[in-house]
Amino acid sequence: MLTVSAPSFPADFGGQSMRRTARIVPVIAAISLTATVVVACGSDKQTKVLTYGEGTTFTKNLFPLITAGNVTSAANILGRVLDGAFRIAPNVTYQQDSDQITSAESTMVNGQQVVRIKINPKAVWDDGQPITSADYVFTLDAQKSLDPAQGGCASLLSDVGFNQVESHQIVNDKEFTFTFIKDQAFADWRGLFSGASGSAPLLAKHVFDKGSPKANCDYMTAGWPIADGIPDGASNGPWLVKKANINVDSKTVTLVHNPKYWGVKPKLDRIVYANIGSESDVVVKALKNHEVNMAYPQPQIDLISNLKKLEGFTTSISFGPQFEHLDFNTRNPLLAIKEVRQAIAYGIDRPSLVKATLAQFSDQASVLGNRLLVTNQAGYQNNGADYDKQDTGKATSLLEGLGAKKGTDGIYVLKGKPLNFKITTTSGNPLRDTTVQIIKQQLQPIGIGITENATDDIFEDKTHPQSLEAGGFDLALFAWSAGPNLSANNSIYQSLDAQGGTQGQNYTHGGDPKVDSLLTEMAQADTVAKEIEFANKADQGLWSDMFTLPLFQKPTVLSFDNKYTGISDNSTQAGPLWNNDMFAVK
Amino acid sequence: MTGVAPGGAAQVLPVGQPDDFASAPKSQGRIALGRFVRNKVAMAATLLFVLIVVVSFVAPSLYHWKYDHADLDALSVQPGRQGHVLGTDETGFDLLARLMRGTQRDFVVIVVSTTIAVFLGTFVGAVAGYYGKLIDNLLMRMVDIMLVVPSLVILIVACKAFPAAATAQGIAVIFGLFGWMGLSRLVRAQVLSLREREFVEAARALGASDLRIVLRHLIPNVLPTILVFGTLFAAISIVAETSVTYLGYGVQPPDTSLGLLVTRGVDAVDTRSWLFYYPGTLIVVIVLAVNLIGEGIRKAFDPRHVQVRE
Amino acid sequence: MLVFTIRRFVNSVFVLLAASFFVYVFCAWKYDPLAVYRASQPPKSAAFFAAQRRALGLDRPLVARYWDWLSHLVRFDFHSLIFLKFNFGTDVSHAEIAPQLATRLEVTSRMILVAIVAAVILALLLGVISGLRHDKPIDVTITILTFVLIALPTFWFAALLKQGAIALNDAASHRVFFTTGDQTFGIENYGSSGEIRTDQLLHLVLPTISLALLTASGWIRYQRQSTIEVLDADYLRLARAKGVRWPVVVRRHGVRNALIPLVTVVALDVGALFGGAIITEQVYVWHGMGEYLNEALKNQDVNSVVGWVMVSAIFVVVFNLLADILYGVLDPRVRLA
Repeated sequence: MLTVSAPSFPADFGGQSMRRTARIVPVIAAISLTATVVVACGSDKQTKVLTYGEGTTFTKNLFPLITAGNVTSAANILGRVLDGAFRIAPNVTYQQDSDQITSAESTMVNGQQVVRIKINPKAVWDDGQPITSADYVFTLDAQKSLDPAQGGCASLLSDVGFNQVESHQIVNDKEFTFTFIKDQAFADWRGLFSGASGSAPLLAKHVFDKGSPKANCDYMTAGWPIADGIPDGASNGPWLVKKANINVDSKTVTLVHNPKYWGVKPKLDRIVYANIGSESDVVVKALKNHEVNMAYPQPQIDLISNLKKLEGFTTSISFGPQFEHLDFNTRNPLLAIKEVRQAIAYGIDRPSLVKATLAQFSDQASVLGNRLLVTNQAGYQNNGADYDKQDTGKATSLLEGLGAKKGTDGIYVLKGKPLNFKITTTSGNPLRDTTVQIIKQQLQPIGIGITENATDDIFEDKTHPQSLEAGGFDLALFAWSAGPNLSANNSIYQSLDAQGGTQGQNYTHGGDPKVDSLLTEMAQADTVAKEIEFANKADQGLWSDMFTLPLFQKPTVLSFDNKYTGISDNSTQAGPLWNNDMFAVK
Repeated sequence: MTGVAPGGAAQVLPVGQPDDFASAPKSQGRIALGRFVRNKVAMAATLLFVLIVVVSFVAPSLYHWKYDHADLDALSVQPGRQGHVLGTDETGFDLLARLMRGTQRDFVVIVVSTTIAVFLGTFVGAVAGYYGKLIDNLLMRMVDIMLVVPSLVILIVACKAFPAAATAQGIAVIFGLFGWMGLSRLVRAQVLSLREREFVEAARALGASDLRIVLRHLIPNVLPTILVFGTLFAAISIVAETSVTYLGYGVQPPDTSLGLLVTRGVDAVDTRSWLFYYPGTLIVVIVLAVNLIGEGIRKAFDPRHVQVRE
Repeated sequence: MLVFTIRRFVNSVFVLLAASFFVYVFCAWKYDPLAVYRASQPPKSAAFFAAQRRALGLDRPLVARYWDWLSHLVRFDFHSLIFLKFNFGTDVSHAEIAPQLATRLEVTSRMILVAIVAAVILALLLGVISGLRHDKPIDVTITILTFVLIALPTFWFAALLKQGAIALNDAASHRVFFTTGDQTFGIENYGSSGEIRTDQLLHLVLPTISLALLTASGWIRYQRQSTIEVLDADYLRLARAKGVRWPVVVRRHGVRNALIPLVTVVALDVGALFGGAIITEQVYVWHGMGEYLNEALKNQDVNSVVGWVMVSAIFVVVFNLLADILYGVLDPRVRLA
């Protein structure tokens, strides 16, 4: 019988070789491949190409309104393919695209919000058919509801905003109005037509209308699988994604010009979009070797240092809409007490936390003082200045005021229970591990014990006891995403009562009727200014309630070859390809 | 993969029972031990390995930085600065403390996985080889099935399903449970040929039970194979732990292992080179030492120099 | 010989079945492919999850799902390569698994085949040399090198290799070596098939070097050991005693017999390689079998994982069988055993 004398691990688990050999072999290979070098040179006749290295998972579906297509990689590809009347600008506001619409105004008529939109007369779909009010109105109707019983579609991402539209009226082919339900104005109405990068593309009626709501829903549920590309007549932007230009095996997509586009043509001939992952060394080497020209990887300290060292590349760091925060579970009897939560908030030294985690990336890093607006968003103000510095004196006096006594291990005991809490967070995330460690060390002197509970279950459903949904946590450390749609925050911060008894995304189960009404008014404000005003008022209420504690915004890093111009970072969900029609080669 | 050819080139001649005969010959084991001790390279490797392990367990109590204490004023400092002998990482953890803790974890991995693999492999191989026929068939089919199932898949699924698996002990257990098959084949082959020998027949004639025969007569002759396999397995399990940790499974922070240190250090080669070179060199040294020990054991039991002795 | 082969073949089928059952049940037991939807904002309704569960068949009992999978596994199809057509079901995004695995396998095989050839050559050269001159300086050097090779982690070595390659590229002012992917991104849009083939060849260089050196390390040790044993064998001594010159002895009897064990070890390791090289693919961003497994495990996709395991298992089994047959053919002593 044949014998095998070694353990049966995949051979990959062996090990590796010697640097000297590593240097000799490539040299030999180089010499022997000299002949082919000539052939390999300059094989791309069109030189006006930019290759973008995507860091997130390659999308399986190109339709943005279903979960499978609601991923960063899809948004990056489709940003200027499925164009919107509005686009999310880097300062987290909506910017009107005059190529798509010539005007859009919102007025209040008898307590109802009425929006009037005039479409650009030149706007056509990529098959030549004109873009008309019928398309816009169809888009409104298709996302009106998630309930099949009411003619809606359950697989759509969200009907928020659309479900507040009472009626619409087509004035002519290029002008229409839509009216919101009385007393249910929607401040973020521009988001309803914000294109693929805003998860609200314009739906071409002649492509999407299959005859009945159920047939439409079935079509949208299937979406556009990546292998099939986008059907003709569904694109309205300067770029096109054609089936022939999608290579699923190599995970590359090539964007080409849309010949029917009526605006300014893109300066590049093609944009190649390739999935290379976010591994630090891989991204750096790919850029250095000019295999990709632009990358947007997950920030890591060595990655950024290495990128900055690359000659001929620009690396810029900004702060994105995602921000880390702590959720306090008010179902925990100790955390139900406001003073305990406040003590924890005073005990955590947020500036020091930021310095230890983010300042190594950028000296622009700062504490986040607002739950609804991020630092680079219009209207931001720091409503939590009181907590900006660590105040151990206040923390301990709050606890002792409740009658807590320090035990022999240095931990306070309140009502017979020690103040030991677990911070639940995702696993495999070095930044979060570091954050928890630092918080643990900061809270130790004020007598609060912290342990880390890193688990993949955090986002699971109720059947997983450690998940947010099941409420099996003390404190939770994870990220929310800010954006121009402030009303999206309501499901996070409104009480269960205000949400009809469901928790929505309010995992803390905290509630404050004053904040509830402020948030409702915010969502129904008729101007952006009023929206921001109510948002800040609500946030001030939330600071005194302390159900959650915002920490800091996560950084984003963009790196690109200096031979390209026109690239500017957009750290919102629009991504750095938001203006890819402006990219050019020097 | 190294050292032992099929058909049992490491097959040694059987060890007789010293008290059954008149003279008291030196046992095979003692000869081998003597030869091992005289082998300078193997002894140096053993000393080095023992030194590293002992330091990693003893020194932390003497060193004032703990592996899980973040020095927030000393982030990513170079070796020698601010009281950190080998520098710190981006969280402020002292590298030397982490290295010692990592070596401890790796040592646990080695010991647990090798013990499980050796026990299972020897047991299954001996039973299959000794009893033969149906039991042999059944056991070898089980070995075939286990050989076909990729251990990595089981490990990753287990790490997701059972949080306890994402620790040094957890992956060590899985390594052991999936690494014994090679040894069982080796042992089985040797036992198959040994059981036909006269001394086994003689022992049976004298009324020795099966257990006694296997334990006292057969296993000692298989010992060299086991020892060589054990050291090889130990070396491979360190490297496997590194690979598994690189893929994201295995030991989780704040705990650390050499694999985790090397994984995090790979990106720092140009920027914070101490985080790259120290953990990597330590792993290479440890694996080298274990491999050299294995080489020494194999040489010590080399049948080419063995006296014929029943 | 024939009886032996048939018995082993039947045995292999049984082994594959048992392994598939074990892996399927183990994965399906705790897996939740809908986990990815739970983190979405705003949260999805219970009806949505119920519909998804039904679509993926998650509401049925484990054994029923396994039986479903098994009963559709193989079909006879005379247009296929081996008259068999495999159907591994659909993955969590409802795409067929078998075609995906086929493409991935093609990509990985490209890397592996070249690496194996290179590794065999290396193992033969270095193994025989260090065996012939064992315990001499050249042997010591090669031994130390191989041990270091075994100890160095894959990703470490790959990082250094890439650095060296890029330095060479800069020195030559032209991009000869590639560190990412199996071909230049987007080359299929403008390149001729000749250009594409050359491009793929150039992309093969670095991953092949990584993989070849990794696999060769163990083989070198093995070949060295068997060379030493063969050279010391009695029949070689007899030939010398008869007066045959040493180089002739080595060439005619020694080397051939020393190669036998290596051939079988290569056959065995190749079986495992086809299911592996996960880290190499990750580091060089090759979209092959290794990456597929990584994604399937992340997505908690039972069908994909089991499909992958079956393909890998088939290779392991086939090559094990080959190894057994080869060994029996080459070494007459074993045949008689």
